Amino acid sequence: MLRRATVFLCLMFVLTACTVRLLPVYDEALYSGLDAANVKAQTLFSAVAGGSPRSAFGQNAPAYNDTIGTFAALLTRAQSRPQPSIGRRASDRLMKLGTVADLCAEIAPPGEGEPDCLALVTPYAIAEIVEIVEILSKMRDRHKAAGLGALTTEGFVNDYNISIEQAMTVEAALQD
Amino acid sequence: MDIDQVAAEMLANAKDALADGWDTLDTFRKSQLRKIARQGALISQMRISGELKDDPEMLDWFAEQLEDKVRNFARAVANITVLTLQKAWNAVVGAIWGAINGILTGNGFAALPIPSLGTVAD
Repeated sequence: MLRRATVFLCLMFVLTACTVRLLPVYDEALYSGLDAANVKAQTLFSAVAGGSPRSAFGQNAPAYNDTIGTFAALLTRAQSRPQPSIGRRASDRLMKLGTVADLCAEIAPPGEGEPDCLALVTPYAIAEIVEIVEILSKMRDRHKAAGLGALTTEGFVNDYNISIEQAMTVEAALQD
Repeated sequence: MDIDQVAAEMLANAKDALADGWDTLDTFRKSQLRKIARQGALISQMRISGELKDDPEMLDWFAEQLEDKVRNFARAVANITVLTLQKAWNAVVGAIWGAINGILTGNGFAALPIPSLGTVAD
């Protein structure tokens, strides 16, 4: 509890010490693009709900390509969004505080692929869209090679739904 | 300056900003954790049912994906928290700087620029 309070106070210190933006600006075109691409994805999922044999891949291939291509284009847009470097500096500053560094080490021990648990400003939406492209591509390849079982299909759809919700919720929260 | 009135305005603004942010966070958290738990159950069922018995790599892929989802969830919660604090900061600063500038401009002085955490470019 004391640690949480310390982290919160440190965060407030960093916030109030700056007069700059810590997170990227809201991108209306990116949000509406994600919304439209999600409609395409859900339409595709509806077509293969309950599973789909390999023989049915051909009729779904255009929908896979269209949906993956749309998300790939949105990824390019997200990657070109300016990221405020002050957020990175704020993270670095917090990490120099012993208590915060200790807490981070507990959450993400060094060498476990997450060297900076306080990456306040990540290139936002990029990680989520990369995941979405990967999920849809894997689903397409599986469908083409072996067909989709009911559980596998549900696994892909639920996996996708987690990522799209993450991307859209935080993008919407960026709106002032 | 009516200190009580300005303090009340700052409190109301901060409460609104924080309430909106925490509501978003609460809804997001519940929805995400339900889906993440569902994904864990699906991975177990895929293994038990044998649907992916010919493709252990696919099962491993789903497990790695789940790990990524949890990491991205934690980062999203952190981002929404920072955004909420930003909005609270802006709401409070707007009230107090508004009061100061009301007095300054009313007496022929130039207004102080409002420091905004959310609008000044890096």
